Amino acid sequence: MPRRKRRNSEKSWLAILREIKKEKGEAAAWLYATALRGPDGPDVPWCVKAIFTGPLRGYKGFILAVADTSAYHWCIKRPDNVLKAFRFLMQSQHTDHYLKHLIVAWEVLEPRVAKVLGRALEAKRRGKTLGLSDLSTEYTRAVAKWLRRTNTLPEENEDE
Amino acid sequence: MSRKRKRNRERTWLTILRTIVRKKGQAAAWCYVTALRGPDLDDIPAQPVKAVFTAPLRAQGEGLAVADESSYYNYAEHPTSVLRAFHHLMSREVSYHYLKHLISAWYILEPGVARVLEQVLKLKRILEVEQNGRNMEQRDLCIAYMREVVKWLERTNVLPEGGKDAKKEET
Repeated sequence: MPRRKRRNSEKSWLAILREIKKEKGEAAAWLYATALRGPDGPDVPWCVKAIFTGPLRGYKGFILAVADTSAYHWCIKRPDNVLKAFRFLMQSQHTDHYLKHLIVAWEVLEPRVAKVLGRALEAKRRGKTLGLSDLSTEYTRAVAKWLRRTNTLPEENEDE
Repeated sequence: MSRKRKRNRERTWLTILRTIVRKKGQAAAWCYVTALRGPDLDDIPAQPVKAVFTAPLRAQGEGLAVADESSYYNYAEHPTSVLRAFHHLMSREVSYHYLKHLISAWYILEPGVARVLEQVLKLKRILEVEQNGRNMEQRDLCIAYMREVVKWLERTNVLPEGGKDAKKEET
């Protein structure tokens, strides 16, 4: 009986990195690798790391003391957490660099997530207000799609 | 004739990562990989900090738009630029998290560098309380850091020789 292919939510960060390297090369792997650390800065709420870095880190095969995919799943059970994370991302002065790294990593893995985050960054730069509730729903929906998928990278033309 | 072994500065970040996975496992590799992004300093130019602190860890590689080991050596030639990088790192509250990740990564690769950075972290805490003076200490640490990093960059083994690898984990 053929073995069931693992979903992205069941893979380790190293397995994801290896797949990217194999299919897209070192430069793409670099974009993923540099998004694995959570945002720097004082007073970053735990949910920010869980919501934004957690899904990229895959399944923890060892002690990742703070946040991985399971932390993400735990956190999104309460919509308040997702809103809080988005609010922090939009209001903090130190998250632009982190956000840019997140966006380019998601462009490699799932461009829909990158688009949502891109809108957040754009609005932040222009000082525009966004409907964070809609944005966070779109985000969790797009992330869920990637986590459920078995292929790390998007299918050709999938996004068109 | 045996082939010349590559020095660490000639390796790519992926080669370094693979060596760590093979010899020390995934948890150690995690410490390394999470130190590869530069600090999230959005209010000042991050380039000097990136070149001095992140670049040596990155060594070589495709897609390293901002800083690789050559930018580290470029900065090393200008002590005032290195001091400026130290000053930036030490004057920003946001860099604690980054510094802790750097320290964890260097404990895997070269504990000598990690120990200097621990002193930097300690001094940073003191400076936040005292606010003045301590420039002398900052300069000494800066020199000690550069010396230890070059030791690793010029070495041919990624990991330290037996027993020197007390490691710490950060997330």
